[in-house]
Amino acid sequence: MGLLSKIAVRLALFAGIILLMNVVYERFFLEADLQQHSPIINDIREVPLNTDILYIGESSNTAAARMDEDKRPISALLGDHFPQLNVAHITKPASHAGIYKTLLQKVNPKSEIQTVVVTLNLRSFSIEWQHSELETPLQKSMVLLKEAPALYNRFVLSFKGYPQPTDRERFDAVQDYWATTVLPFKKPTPYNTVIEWSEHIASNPFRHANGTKDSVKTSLAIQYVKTFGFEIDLENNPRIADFNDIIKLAKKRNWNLVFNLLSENTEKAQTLAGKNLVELMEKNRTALVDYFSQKGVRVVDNLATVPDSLFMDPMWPTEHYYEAGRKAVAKKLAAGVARFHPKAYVEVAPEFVSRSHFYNNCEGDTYWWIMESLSRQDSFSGLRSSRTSKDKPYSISFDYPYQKLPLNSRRRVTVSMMVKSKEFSDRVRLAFDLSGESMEHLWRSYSVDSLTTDTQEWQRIEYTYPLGRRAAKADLIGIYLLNESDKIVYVDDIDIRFQ
Amino acid sequence: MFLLAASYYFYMCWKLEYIVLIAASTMIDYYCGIQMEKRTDKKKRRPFLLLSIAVNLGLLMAFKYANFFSDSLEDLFSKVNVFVDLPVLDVLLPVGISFYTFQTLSYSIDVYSGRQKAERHLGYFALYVSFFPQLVAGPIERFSRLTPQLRAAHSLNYDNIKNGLRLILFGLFTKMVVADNFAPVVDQVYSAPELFGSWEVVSAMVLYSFQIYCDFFGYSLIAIGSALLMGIHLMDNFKSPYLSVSIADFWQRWHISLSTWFRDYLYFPMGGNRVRWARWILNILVVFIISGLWHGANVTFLIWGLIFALGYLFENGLNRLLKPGAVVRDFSIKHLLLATKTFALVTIAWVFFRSENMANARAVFSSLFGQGTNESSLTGTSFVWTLFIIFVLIDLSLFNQRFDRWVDRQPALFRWVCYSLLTFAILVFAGVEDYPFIYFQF
Repeated sequence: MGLLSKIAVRLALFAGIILLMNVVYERFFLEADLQQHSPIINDIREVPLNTDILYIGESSNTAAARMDEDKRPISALLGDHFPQLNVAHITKPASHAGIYKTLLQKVNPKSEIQTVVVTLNLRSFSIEWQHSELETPLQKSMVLLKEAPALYNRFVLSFKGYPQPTDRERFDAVQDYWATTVLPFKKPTPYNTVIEWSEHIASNPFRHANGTKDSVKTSLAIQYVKTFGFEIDLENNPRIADFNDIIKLAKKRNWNLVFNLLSENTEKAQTLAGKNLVELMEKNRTALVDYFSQKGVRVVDNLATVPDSLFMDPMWPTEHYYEAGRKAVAKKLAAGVARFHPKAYVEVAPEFVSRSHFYNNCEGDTYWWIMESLSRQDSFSGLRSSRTSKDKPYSISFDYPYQKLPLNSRRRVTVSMMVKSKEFSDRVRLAFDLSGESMEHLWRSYSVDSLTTDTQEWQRIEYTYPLGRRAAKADLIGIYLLNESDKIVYVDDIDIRFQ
Repeated sequence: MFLLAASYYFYMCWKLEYIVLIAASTMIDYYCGIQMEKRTDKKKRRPFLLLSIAVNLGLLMAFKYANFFSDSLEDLFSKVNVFVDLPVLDVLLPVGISFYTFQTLSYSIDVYSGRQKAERHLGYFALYVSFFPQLVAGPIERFSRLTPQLRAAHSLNYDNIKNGLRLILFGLFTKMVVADNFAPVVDQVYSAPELFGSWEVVSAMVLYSFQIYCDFFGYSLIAIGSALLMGIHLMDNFKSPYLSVSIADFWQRWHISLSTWFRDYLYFPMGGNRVRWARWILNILVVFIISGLWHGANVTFLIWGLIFALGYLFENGLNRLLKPGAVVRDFSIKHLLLATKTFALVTIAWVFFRSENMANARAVFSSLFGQGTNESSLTGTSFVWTLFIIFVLIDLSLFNQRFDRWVDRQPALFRWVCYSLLTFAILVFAGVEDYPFIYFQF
């Protein structure tokens, strides 16, 4: 047999073995790898088949403040305007269109989704976000979800086949853009690039009333310039290509497509960097709205919907809004989505009713604080519970604006929950946290050990904490389990009654 | 020429401007070699040898040790209350510099001593310096061994391709599956040793011994296999080092190309063991300490080298006293006991190699002897220990044999089962965190 035919036979045999390996991998190993490296798959799988509207976005959807009475995400608030429709969401922090398209491809083809709402985050088009240090772990988590044979994806993951720029490379790419890209200002300015603009601000800093330099405000102004000082290149920006892929996918899957252009803090941008920056943001907004509208996408322009006072992060440009901000975004978004569901649309969302009884089954559909503690590792009911450990000692936390509790329900609070651990030590505590501007911070904790029996199975604990006068001036009450032991403690089915 | 261009391109993919360093080292050593050969009198050759040494070691010193000396000087001055701020060189260490400088030095020294004729063809000489399969982390090849192969005409050879691929496959397995899965467990302990108990520290120490072995061994196999695809036979760099019966034996089995380099170009010229007893001890100390410092500019590497020196001297002294006779490596109780003893000493030395600094090493030993708080436990160890057992069994099976040759003697079905299992392991069980080859940092 000639050399080449010898090699060819062996290659063919090896190819056959690889195909068999793919079958074995998919059958026995893929699921464990998905849980370890791409746990977002669970969120995708949990999208009910009878979902009508799917909302996909990043942390802007779920970020809530401790003081929010209603901590529900924008997607749930959107659902208030379509009470007869099922609204589900997939939220992956720090993600962008490149990630959404991979996630949307994995949505069950049998689902009844009619409309997909995708967040359009202006900041995600910026050079900083494109070269963010979060991008590498994000891309890594998407590898196993790509549309390719499972074993191939695992091979790509093993061989690090995703972008892994060094800190230096990322830094250089961003600095290069900022130093060389001329910004399209409407009127002549003493600066043309982001670097020049930043230097201009630095040399003309904000000042306190007493004349001293206000470094904090000056730094924030520079940060806003760096974050929003760009013009979207519709031809070459990678996000545009990603959104175009989403549009193609939506057409293929017969989905109505809505882009939710998120609110940015244009008020603050104006205060810090002036009209030039706001005009750039508006120019980019107009470009995006026009571009995608021409492609048949309904773009809901929420750019200036949320005022400065309703942005949660005053010291960093983010799209995290307080309750009223999320409701405002959801309301405008709903009006846009209504085009596809006119009969199901309700203009006025039901009022959130103040109550004294709260329950969380830890499945993720009731929004409290520290939702990231929810885990599928164990549960008393449903699929999830709140998992605490030495590394992550806080359970899901009930945080509520105390003054919104009914007046006749402020004498005591009874907390009941299911807990499970191999061992409860004195370092596992049920904590009550009361804080307010007009009172001294009050934090009390009680050993869970004293409330449990000696079993490693799920068991219910209950404790009543007297509130009364000491809590009268509280703004916020927090109730959670704090686990500083070296054993894992699970919490589920938390029932809180104020009396 | 294509191979030379490919080798230069390979290096430039990492950092374009650093190709100047290899080119400069190449040109100077090429020139020095020719000039030395023109002069029969060693005294007249010496300036060119010194030029070659100065350039090669100068490059190494500048990139690798300048900051270490600055810091050490600053520390020294501070102890007498003199505070100085010496300049710091903010440059990336050129990949492979410790290897290719030693490779070219060996050439210069061989030409100087008349063991080697100078290479007149710049292209072949440049290729000897920059041959890409071994450029980054060895094996450090001798000119007389490598260049004739580079000069020879090669055609597609089925056996070379077969064996080359076998070595690459096994190399990928040891690196990606074994080393890269051990690394996270080792990192857990070394990042905060004070939080762990003795058992965890022992586990991390043993796993690190195998991590570094599998990492470097894996790289060497890939390098040797890659060269073999082109018909070039590079030297073996490892021969079951953890079955060594003594420190001396270990250094004949671990990073063989470096240990033989130090033997031939430092130890022997210093007189080897043909000197008085006190001088011989000094020779041993110098060679091991310098080999430690070759790895990096850190006191920990110095201690690492010193441990081997003291271990070697102690064993030598004991052998002179007890005269135990030759050890047959036949997996007898005696062999295994001696191997365990040697492994234990080597593992202790590896603590200094792995630790970032002396404080880190102290913390590891402190926890080893029960001073740790024991508040943390290792995670992800069941799979790792399974892998450990599998690898040890493989290593024992391959004792003193190279994988390609061992597998060649097996029946066809067995061979294909091996290839399949190794491929599957690489594809499915390879570590997913980014762990560059350890020896690339040198």
